[in-house]
Amino acid sequence: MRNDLPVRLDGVVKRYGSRTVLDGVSLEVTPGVTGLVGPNGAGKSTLVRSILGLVRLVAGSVRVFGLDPALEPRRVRSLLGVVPEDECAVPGLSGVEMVRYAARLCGLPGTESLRRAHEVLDWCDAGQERYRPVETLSVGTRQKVAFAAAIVHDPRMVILDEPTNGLDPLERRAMLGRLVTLARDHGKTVLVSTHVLPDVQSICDRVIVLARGRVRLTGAIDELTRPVTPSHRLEGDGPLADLARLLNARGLPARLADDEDGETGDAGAILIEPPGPARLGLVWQAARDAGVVIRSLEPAHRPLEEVFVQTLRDADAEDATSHGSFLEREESHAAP
Amino acid sequence: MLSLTHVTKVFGSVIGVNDVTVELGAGAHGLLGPNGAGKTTLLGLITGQLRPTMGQVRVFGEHPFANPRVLRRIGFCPAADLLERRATPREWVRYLVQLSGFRRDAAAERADRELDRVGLGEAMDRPLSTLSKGMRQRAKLAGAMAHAPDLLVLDEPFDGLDPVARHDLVGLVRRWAVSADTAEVPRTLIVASHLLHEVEALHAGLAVILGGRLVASGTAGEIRDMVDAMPSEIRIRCDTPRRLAELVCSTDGAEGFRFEGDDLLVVATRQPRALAERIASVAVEERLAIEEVAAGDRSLEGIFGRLVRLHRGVGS
Amino acid sequence: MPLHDVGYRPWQGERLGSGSAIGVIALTGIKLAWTSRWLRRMVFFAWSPALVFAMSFFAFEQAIDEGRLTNMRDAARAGRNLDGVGMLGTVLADTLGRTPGHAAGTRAVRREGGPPVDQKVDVAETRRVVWSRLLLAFMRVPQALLLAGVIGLVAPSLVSRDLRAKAWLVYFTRPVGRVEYLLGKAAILGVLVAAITVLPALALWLMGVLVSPSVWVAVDTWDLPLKAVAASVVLAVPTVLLALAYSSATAESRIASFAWFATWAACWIAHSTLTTADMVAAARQAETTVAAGSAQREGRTGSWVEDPFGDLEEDASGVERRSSSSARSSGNGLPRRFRWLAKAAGMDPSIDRWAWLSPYHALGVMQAWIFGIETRPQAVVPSLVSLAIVSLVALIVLLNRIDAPTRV
Repeated sequence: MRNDLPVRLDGVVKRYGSRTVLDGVSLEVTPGVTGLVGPNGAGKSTLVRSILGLVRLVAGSVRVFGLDPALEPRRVRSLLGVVPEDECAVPGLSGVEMVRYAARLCGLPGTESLRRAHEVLDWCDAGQERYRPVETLSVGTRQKVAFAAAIVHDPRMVILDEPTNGLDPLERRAMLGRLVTLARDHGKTVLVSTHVLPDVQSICDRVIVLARGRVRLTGAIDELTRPVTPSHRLEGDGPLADLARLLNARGLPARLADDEDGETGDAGAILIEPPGPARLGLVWQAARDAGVVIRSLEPAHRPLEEVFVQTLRDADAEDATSHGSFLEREESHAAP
Repeated sequence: MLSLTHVTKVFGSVIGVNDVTVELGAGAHGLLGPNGAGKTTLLGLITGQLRPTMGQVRVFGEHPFANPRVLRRIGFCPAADLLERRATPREWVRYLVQLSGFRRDAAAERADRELDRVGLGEAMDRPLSTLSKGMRQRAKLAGAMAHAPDLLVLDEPFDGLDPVARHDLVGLVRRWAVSADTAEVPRTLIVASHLLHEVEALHAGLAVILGGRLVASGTAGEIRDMVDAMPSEIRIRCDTPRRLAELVCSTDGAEGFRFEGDDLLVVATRQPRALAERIASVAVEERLAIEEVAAGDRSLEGIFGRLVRLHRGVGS
Repeated sequence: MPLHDVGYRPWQGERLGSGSAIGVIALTGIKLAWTSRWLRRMVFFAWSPALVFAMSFFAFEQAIDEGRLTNMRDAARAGRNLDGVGMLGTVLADTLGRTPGHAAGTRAVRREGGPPVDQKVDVAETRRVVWSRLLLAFMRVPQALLLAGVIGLVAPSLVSRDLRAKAWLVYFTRPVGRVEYLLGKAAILGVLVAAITVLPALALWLMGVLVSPSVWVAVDTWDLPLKAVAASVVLAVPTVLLALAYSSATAESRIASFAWFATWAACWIAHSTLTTADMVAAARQAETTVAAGSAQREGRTGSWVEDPFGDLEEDASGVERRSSSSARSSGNGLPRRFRWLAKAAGMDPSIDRWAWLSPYHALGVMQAWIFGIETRPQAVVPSLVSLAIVSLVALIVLLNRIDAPTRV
C-alpha cells in the first residue's frame, strides 16, 4: 500500500526568514531501519519536526502513514515515538514516573501506564536507577529513559536523534540491537538521525543523506556500500602479497586492498573478486599454501564514510557557486 | 487449580507483579527469579494476602483475597523467620492448625504427627529461640503442612541453611510433592527460589519471573528446547582451530567464527544441534584432536542468563 | 508455549482520548508542586482566615437565636457601634442601621423598600445580606491576597521550567496540543484556587447553615455557594492567565516570580497614590463648598456627581459619612481595624475610580459585582474591561510562547 508508507515527503520547502532549511525535499521512509545523515545544519531536525507537524511548510506535502501531520497532528503523533536530540524531561519526576507520564500523555490509562512503563524500562535495561529523579541520572540512563518514554505507547514508527550519545560501548551495542529488534521482530519503522556512520552501517537498511536542505543520496545501505565489483575481503597475518600472487595464478583475481590512508601495506587485506561460495575453499587452500593465517574473510563493503564523503563532494560541486564547502569544514574539524 | 489472568500488583510507583497470566495445575512448580523480581508479591497474591491492582487471581476457582474457604486449603511458609520465639514448635504448629479450623484435639494430633515427620520429634518441646535455623525452618514447614493443605506455598524455604539441613529439607519437600501426585485430591506445590539448583533438585516445573513478568514457564526440558532456537555460541577447543573452521564453515547454521588464543574456536549458530553433529563427524573423518566442545549456555544457568539478557534487551 | 513474551512486546490496549492529557498534566503538576513544603504550609495557612470568619457566622446565628437582632438594629440606628461582636458588628451595624431607602448597593433591600422602623427585623433578608457580605469580604481580602501569594509560588515555574529543561518536547512530540498543555497547566492553578478560595468559602457557608436554627436556611441562601464559585472563577481566570504568561515569557522562573509580585505591588501603589490624590483634591473642593455654604454635600468625591443613585445616597448621608469619610478621619463610628472590612464587604458606597489599575482592586470589584453588592456599571465596567484586556493579552502571549521553541 503506497498510501500507507510510514513517511512520504513531496517537494517540502521550509524557510526561517530568508534562510531555506528544507529546499524541495522529497523522500520516502519505508519500514525497517533508516539512517538520516548529514552535516550539522543540514535540516535534519526541521525534517523531523515537519513529520511531527510542528512546523508550517512553505510548500510541499508530508504524509505519515497516509495522514497529514499539519491537519491531524494528534493522530500522527500518537503513531510516532520520538527521542529528541536534547535530553528533555520533566524535572522532579523519577525515571519511571517520567516514562509513565509519557505513556499517560499518549492516552494509556492509569495503572496500565505504570505497568507498561516498568515493562519497557526493563527492556531498556534501566535497572533500579529508574526510581531516582531524572535530573540526577547519568547521561546513559537518561538516554534509556528517553528511549523508553518514546516507545512506551508502542508507536508504529520511532524517530531517534543520536540515540547512542552517552552510552558506553556495551550499552551502545545493546541500544542498536534494540532498534534492530523493533524493526525486525515488531515491524516498526525506525528513523535514526546520527553522525556516527559505523552505527548507521551496522543497523540501517537504508540511508538518506541530507545536505543544505536537499536530499543528496538515498538508497539501501547494501547497494550503496557495494564495491564496483563484488568481492571478498581477506584479512590475515603473513605474506599477503604472496597469497595475492598465488590466488591470481590459480585463476582467482585478487589484489592488495588500499588501506584507509591510501598506502598499500603488508599488514592490510586482500580483495578477492569475484568470490562465489564454491571458490572460497580454494582461498583457504591457497592461504595455507602461502603460509597466511586468515583472521577474517567476509564480503567486502565500502565504508559508508567513503560514500558519505563522496556524496558531499558531489553536493559541493553542485552548489559550488553559492556556498562554501562541507569538506573544507569537515577537514578543518579533523585537522587538530 | 490455580490461575492468574493479567495480574498486576503495584505499590505506589514500584511494581511487584507485571501482567502475569499463568495456569498452574497439580504437581510441583518452581518459581525462579533473582531477588526483587516479584516472587514474594506473586506468592502474596496467590495466598490471598494481597489484592491484585489489576487482573484476577483464582485459587480452587475462587478469589483467595480474604476468603477463608480458600485460605484454609493453602499452606504457606513465608520467607521471614518466625517471630514468636518463646513458643515451642509443638505449641506453634498446634496453634496454626487450630487457626485453620481444626478442633483442639485434632489439631494436637496433627501437629505432633507432622513435627515427627519433619524430624522434630525430639525437639518439639524446646522453645524456638533455642533451635537452630534448620530446625526452625522445619517447624515452619510443619506449620505449613500440618493442616493437610491442597496447595503448599514455600517462599525461599532453603535460604540460609547449611548443606546438610538443605539436603534434608529438599528431601522433605520432594516427598510431599511426590505424594502430591498420588493423593486423592490433586495437590500443588509452589516453591519460590532465587537458586536454580534448588528448583532443579525438586524436579519441579519452572516458572521464571523477571521484573515482575513471567518470562518463561514449563518443564526445564521445554525451556531448553525453546532456547535452542535462539542463536548461541559453541566453543571448541582443539589444536587446529583454523582447520576446523574451514571444514565446518559450509555447514548450515554456522553463522560466524571467532578465534580466541591458539586453540579455541567460537562458532555462532542458531542450530546448535546440527552444528554439534557436524563437528562430531568432521572430527572423526579428519581425525582432529578436539579436546573440548562446550555449548556455553546450555545449562539451565545459561538459559537463565539468556532470559535475563532478552528481558533487558541486551544482545539479541 | 513455555517462553512468554520476553523483552519488548506490543501494546494493544485501548487509549484514552486526547482530552485526557489535560488531566494528566494537571495531576502530575499538582503532585510535583505539592512536594514543595512552602506550598503545603501556605495552603494550610490559607484556611486560618476562614476560622475568623466562621466566628462571625456563628455569632450572627447566635444573635438570631436569642432574638437580639431587633435590639441591635435599634442600637445601630441610634448610631451606636456594635463592635462588641467583632467584624460581624461592623457588617451588622451597616446592614441593620440602614433606614428604609438606604440602599447602599443591595438590590434585595432596595426592591423591598425595607420594613418600617417599629417592625421586627426580617431575619431571612438580613441573613442573606450579612452572609453575602461576610463571604465577599472573606474572598476579597484574605483569600485574594493568599491566592496571589500561592500562585506566585507555583505558577512562575510551571511553564518556564519546561522551557528551561526543554520539556516542551515531552509534550509536543506526543498527541498533546498547545490548548491541552495550557489547560492542563491552568488546571494545576485552578485546583489551588479551589483549595484556597472555593473550598473555604463553601465550608463557611455550610458551617453557617449548620449553626443556623434551621437547615432550610440552605434553601434560602442556595445562591451563595454558586456565587462563591463564580467569584472564584472570576478571581482565577485573569490571575492564572497572567501568571502563566509571565512564566512562559522567560526560562528563568525567578524573573517570572518577580514580575508577578512586582505587578501586584506596583499596581497597588499606583492605585493608592491616585486615590489619595483624589481625596486630597476632594477635600479641597469640599472646603470651598463648605465656604460656599453648601454643607449638605460634604464628604462627596468628584465621581459622585454622575452617580445615578446620588439621590438615594443623599438620604443616607448619615451612613455615608460614617463609612466613606472614615477614610480621612478616624473619629467616627467605625473602628480603625475594621475599615478594610467596610471596603471589602461593599459597605463603602464610594466608587473606586482607579480600581481598574490594580489587579487586586479590580478583582475585588468584580467579586462584589458577582455577589450582587456592587451593581453600578460605572464602578464595574472599567475593572471588567481592564481584566478582560489583561486576560486576553496574557492568553495571546501564552499561545505564542508555548510553541515558540518548535519554530526556531
